[in-house]
Amino acid sequence: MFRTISFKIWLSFTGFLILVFGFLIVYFPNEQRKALTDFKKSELHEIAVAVSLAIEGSLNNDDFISLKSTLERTVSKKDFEFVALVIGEGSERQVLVSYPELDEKRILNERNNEYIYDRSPFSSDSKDLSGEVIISFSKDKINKTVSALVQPVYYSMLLFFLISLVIFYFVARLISRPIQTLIGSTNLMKLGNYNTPIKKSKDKDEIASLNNSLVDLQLRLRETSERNRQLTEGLEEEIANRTYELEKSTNRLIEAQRNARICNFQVEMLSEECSISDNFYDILELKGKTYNNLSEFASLIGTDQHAEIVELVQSSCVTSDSFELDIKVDQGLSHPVWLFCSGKCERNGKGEISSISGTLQDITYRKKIEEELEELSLVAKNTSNCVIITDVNRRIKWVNQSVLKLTGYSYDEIIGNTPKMFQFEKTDPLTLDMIREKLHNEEEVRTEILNRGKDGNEYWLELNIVPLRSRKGELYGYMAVETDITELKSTSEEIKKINENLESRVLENTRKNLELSRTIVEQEKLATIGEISAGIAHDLNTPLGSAKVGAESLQMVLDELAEKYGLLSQSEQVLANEVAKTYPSSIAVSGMQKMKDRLVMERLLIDQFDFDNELTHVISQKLIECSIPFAAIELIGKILELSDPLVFLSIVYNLQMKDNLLHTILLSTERAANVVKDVRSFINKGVTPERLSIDLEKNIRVVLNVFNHELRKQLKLDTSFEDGLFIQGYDIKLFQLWSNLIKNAIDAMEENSNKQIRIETKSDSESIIVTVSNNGPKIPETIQSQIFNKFFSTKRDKNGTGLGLSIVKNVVDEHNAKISLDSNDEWTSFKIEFPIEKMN
Amino acid sequence: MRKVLAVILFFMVSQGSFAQFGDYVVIGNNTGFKTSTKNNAKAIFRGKYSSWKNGESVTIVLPSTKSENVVSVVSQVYGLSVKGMQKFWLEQVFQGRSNAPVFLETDEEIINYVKRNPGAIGIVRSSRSVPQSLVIQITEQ
Repeated sequence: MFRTISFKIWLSFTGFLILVFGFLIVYFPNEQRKALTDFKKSELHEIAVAVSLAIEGSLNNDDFISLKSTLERTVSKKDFEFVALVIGEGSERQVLVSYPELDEKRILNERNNEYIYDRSPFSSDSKDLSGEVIISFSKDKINKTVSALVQPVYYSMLLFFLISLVIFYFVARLISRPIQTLIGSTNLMKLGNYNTPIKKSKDKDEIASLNNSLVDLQLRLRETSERNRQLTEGLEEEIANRTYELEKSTNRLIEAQRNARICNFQVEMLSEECSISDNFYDILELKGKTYNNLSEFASLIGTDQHAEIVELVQSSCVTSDSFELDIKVDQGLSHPVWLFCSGKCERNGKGEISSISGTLQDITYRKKIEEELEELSLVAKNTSNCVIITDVNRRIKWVNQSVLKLTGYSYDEIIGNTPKMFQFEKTDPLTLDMIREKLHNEEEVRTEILNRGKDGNEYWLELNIVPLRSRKGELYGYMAVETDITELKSTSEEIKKINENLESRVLENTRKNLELSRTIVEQEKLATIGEISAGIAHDLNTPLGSAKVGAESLQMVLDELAEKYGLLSQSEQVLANEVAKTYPSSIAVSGMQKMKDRLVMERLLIDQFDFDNELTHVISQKLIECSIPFAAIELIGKILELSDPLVFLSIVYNLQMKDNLLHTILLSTERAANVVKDVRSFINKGVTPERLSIDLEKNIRVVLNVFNHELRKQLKLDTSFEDGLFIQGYDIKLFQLWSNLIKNAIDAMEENSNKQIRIETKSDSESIIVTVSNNGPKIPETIQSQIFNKFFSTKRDKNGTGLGLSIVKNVVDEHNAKISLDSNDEWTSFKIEFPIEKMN
Repeated sequence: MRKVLAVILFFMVSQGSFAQFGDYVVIGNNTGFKTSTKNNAKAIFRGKYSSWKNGESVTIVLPSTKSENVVSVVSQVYGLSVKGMQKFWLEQVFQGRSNAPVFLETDEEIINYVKRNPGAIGIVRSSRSVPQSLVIQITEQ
């Protein structure tokens, strides 16, 4: 707005107006003041003269009335500060009278700038009374008067000024309108709109000329614009094509950098700020991290390299040459990364080093290859094997020291020759043909060959020839690695014999070891039997003792029968046998019950049979002992009618006891036989096991029976067997399995006060599971993986052989089963899973 | 002012004795009183009053400086020299304290002036024939 022409025109007018009004504001009041002051001075003078004349009139003519009249007309009606009559001269001047009454000093101080003064002398004719009239007027009153005079003028000027501003504004707009129109048209043309119509002016002024020039310019610009548009379209198309090509190139470059694992970097020297391309983070596998500072980058590099890097960069900055170095980045990374750094110091306009920029390339793989090559080179140079490298035509290019040492030739003698130089008449031609054919087919060769050195020394070589290929797979030579096996060849036969001898000895020792192992296993088994023999003896002793007591009792019963049986008639004997058979004696009736039964029987005898005498008590007791029920009224009656019921009942009782004792003896002997049978089944030495369908519960119970005595010694055994579980296996080996697990459990709980063993069998869709658990101490986790190893034992001090759980493992393996151990502070469980598909 | 004059008159009546300014007699026309004390008369001639109680304006008539008896009158009434009297009246007139006095050269002119101007008061030689109606008796007290 402030740069517009209308504003400038308006500002010019306004400036001029301000100057004029400014001048008037300053000049007009000054002139007014001056004029008024002059007027006042003149007036003062006239008044002073008039008053002095009036005074002279009053003094000379005694005309005080004129004086009073003069004073009334002049002094009293004007705004004078004072009018005074001063008489005397010089220092004798004194104020005779003043109007109004004022201090004399104030009147006589005519140097006071606040007032204007005028004076007029008077004198009487006799000259005896003379002086002067002094009249004064305040300048402040003049100023106030001037202000009062100019104030309306100022208001008028202000109004006029404001109106002028508005008028000038419109005038300026009116004057600048053609120019504004031209500017609008020019701006439109500046924006490329050359079609805005501009009327040609017929006026002759400068604006009209400018307008017409603009019309011409518009025409030319329109033509130029059209040419530019065509040119621009061509350029845009060219730029688009080049941009596309550039983008493609950039993308290819980025892709190439990514593939080549290259990134760019720039370090600002002053701020140490770093900018680096994203590839850097991909190379170092630092995804999600950002390093913006030199110190952050330096933290990735070991401090041992810092000095070298700084020295190299400083040197480069001094010489303005580029620098190159390999940097090992190994701080905070999972694996070290080698970067090839090349860069250059950049200088600013003042020649100061402003930044360092360059590239970083991941050369970790190259470094690795170089290291490997270096190692291989060292190996090739220093190995005791001979290494020969030839070109495609088998011309020798390089040999190591071992070749020179073995062949006796110098390096120069060998280089350029072919390996034929080492061959002679004894070299196997078939081997040479084979080598030639394989090399022709560019295949690897492995063979043994007899060669000869410079001094005629013959030597056998184990030869390995490898074709050397470029990355593209093109063959560029061969490398032969040869081992001197001359000595080996000469001693091979001897070694062969020694080997054969060793093999036979190993076989013999193996057989012995197997035998020994078997013996140890048997010994283990027998040791188990030994350990449980006391229990077996107890199990045998109990039924045998019962049988013995039964036999002795039977002897006594038979003796008594033999004594009394003849006392009965034949019919009584038959009846006695019938009663004994019909009502077998029940031993397991308590004494209290017998007493009650006897009382009932007594009452029965008395009530039913009126049998009440001294024998009633004894007979009722015998009837109860013979287990004759109360309901057998008829039989009881028959017995009471016998000649000697007591003898009869005694014989019946003895017959019942005979049967009971015989049954007891049979049961006892049968139990003893079972114990023996179980032990025999357990030992079963020398019997070749046969794979059978085995009742799992029955199989386990045999072992439990064998361990019966051990298990009953302060030990709680809980068993849970699922019905009808059968597995395919070897019963004897399974005995070993269970017995070793149980024995292991018993040993483990030796120091427990509350010993418990749980045995559980169950099945699911895939397997039959047997779990043997004990509440012994936890098996340490460090040895859990070793307890199934042969000869591993924690009971060495208690004659442990270390075979128990290894036997368990063997048996489990033989049944294609799996065993697992779960041991914690409360329970230790061995779980054996028999695969169900193996079951019948 | 009227109250003051009333007090003056009461005072003059109560005195009962009369006096003159030497050889001079005070004359007045329609001043509202016929007697006055000497001091009061002096005060009147010193322009103390500007109007009488009857509303008439006070006009003091004195012998001019050219009059032969001006010195004695001024001396009697003002106790000043002629020059002093002139200064006195310059002050009085300048400051508007009293009406300007009329100076006449002869007693006849003074008498005629008093006769013609009500409120005028003058002093003339007692040897002059003065109408009794104009005479104001002056007492000592």
